[in-house]
Amino acid sequence: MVKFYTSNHTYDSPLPTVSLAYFLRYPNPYSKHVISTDTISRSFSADDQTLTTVRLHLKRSKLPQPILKLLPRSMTGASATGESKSYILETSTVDMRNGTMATESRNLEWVGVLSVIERQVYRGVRPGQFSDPPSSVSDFTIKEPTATYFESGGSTEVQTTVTLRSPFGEQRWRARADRNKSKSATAAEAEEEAPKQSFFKSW
Amino acid sequence: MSASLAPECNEKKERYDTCFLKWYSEKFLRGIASTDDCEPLFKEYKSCLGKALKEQGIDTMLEEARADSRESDAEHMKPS
Repeated sequence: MVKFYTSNHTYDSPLPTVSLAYFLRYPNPYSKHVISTDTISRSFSADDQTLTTVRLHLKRSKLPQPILKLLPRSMTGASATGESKSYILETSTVDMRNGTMATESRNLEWVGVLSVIERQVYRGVRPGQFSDPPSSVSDFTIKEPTATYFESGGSTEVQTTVTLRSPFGEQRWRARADRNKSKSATAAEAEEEAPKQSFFKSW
Repeated sequence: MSASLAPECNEKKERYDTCFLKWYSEKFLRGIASTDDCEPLFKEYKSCLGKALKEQGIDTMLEEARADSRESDAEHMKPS
């Protein structure tokens, strides 16, 4: 059971500006919940002019009341008011030769309950360049610019895909589907037990 | 500059981040970088951070996450 959301956006800034902003986005006054950002690994390839970065963000989050009541605090690591901290792993690859940047962010904890993966693909559009493939070859040769991604006037297209997956939800869903299939009392009883066991196994 | 999750590494992190941003904007983004100029500073910062990650048990969490993402990517990203 996987759910996807996709959205598109265009920034009125060239790719270098957008990618620099991506690395500098914390701290900022609108994201006070981000406590820290650390670079875990970074590799540069001179041959391909690519840079791959893995960063770890620590964010403060507020847990919903039902979860706080349901689980002991030792398990959630939350304070009395429901404040909890969570780690986010972010991987990014910037390819300056092709003018693209691909990023991925995912939660590190509670993945058995809900795993959220946000993937983004940024594509630099040079000034005067078509954002869509040119319709004919002659269009392409006339409009193909010599400008670099760095020049002002360029823009950046970004496509965001969020993938939500819940292994815990999948087990519950499967159990319910099975229950509906077999109406016999003994089978229903056996299925009733299954999700409870896996509930704790998945933490 | 953003803080490190290990306060004792803040100074090393800041030195590295400053170097990186300069290299990134002046060389890498212009496509004229030939080496990662800030690697020595990154090594210093990384050795400090590595200790903190180990102490707080984050290193095992990272390994698990990487193993798990390979597994789930193989399952969900395969061409249908």
